[in-house]
Amino acid sequence: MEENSFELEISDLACTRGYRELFNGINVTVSAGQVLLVEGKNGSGKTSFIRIISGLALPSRGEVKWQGLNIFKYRSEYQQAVSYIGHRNGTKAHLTPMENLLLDPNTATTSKDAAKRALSEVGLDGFEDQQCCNLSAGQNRRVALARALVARTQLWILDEPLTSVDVAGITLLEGLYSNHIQLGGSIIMATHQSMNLPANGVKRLDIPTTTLTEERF
Amino acid sequence: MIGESSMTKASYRLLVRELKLSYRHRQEVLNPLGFFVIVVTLFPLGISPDSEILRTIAPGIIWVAALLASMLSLDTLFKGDFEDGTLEQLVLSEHPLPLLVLVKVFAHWLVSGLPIILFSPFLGVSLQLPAEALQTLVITLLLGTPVLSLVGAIGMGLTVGLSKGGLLQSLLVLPLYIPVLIFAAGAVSGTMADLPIIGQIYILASILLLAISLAPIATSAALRISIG
Repeated sequence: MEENSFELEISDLACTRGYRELFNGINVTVSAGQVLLVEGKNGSGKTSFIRIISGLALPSRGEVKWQGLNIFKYRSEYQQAVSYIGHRNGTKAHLTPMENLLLDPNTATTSKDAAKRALSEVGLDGFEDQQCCNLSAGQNRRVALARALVARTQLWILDEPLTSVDVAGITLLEGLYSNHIQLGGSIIMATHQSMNLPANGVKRLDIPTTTLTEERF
Repeated sequence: MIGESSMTKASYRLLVRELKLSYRHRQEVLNPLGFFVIVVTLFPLGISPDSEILRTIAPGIIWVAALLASMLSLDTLFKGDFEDGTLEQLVLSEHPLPLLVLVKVFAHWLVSGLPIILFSPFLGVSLQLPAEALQTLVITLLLGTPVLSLVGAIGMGLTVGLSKGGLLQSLLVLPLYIPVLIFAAGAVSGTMADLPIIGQIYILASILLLAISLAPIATSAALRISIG
């Protein structure tokens, strides 16, 4: 991580799916060393929110700014600083974890040693050269996180990162998250589970469930 | 800003990844080639083994078969990436998406277009094409098949999010293949009639340059729409 101070500013964000407004008027700022937990019931729009701030989808209204620059205009600058892990891991089943890290165009400057270290940090020692299709769902989740580790990005955007991870794995991931925050990084995470994270700097964003307000034809 | 060297490195690593994955899915890669060979060999059986007739229709047959094989093989271009989430990561790359798309299409052409070109002289001989026409056939395929991959990628980008995009994708893409088919098959027939064909070759080359420069941009836009 090159810089220590950064800021992601979300202002007046709204998202519409079909005729239904999932959420509107969301204002929140995330800066170095902070965690933003995105909470809400199923269908409240957590994933939509995560996809918008990661730069995958466009909001129906509002702005997302990284260091004061709109993320949809200055994509390259933003993406250099961000790792996104969605519901899908973004790893190739027929490559080994090692190959997945080394042949990823987004982590082009990774050395073999760094990749090995990252895999051992997520607890995949000894699985480096197994094809990912032979690993479990939880292990594949960990490969995805190792990608964020080797990318050395400042902001991690995670959608349900604990899905299919076992109890020991959750403790391990909590450790990695805390470590990332202590190093001055920050995390935006949508999750149902309660996590054991350093209490200072944890923000919560509750997305209320909206109902169909009005039928329009 | 990102240095040029990191962009080159990223493109190189993406190319290696694509080729490695193709090697691990050899079966899928060989299917379009088998399809190409079988379609071409069906024609003499269905129409006539008469060498005069075969020679007349050979350019069209080989080119239509190459076109269909290319379209079938494109099915795998973004589908797998969409399903496992690597497409999202590609869209969210710090590097320009059109460049990454170009690398992907190039890798795809290496394993799908190139084998077709290598096999085409043998099929040409079996359809009684004379030697100079075989030469033209290979040249037109070299210029034309990359266009098929590049233009097909646009259609794939638009339909990748649909669960049953197969037929729609052929309706979108096949009409766009028509100019390539006309000039390429025309050039091969022209060679046999002792006509000058340099005009068709130039046109094919310019279509190729146009496709290389514009198709990746269109494909990137299509992918962003499909993902968002």
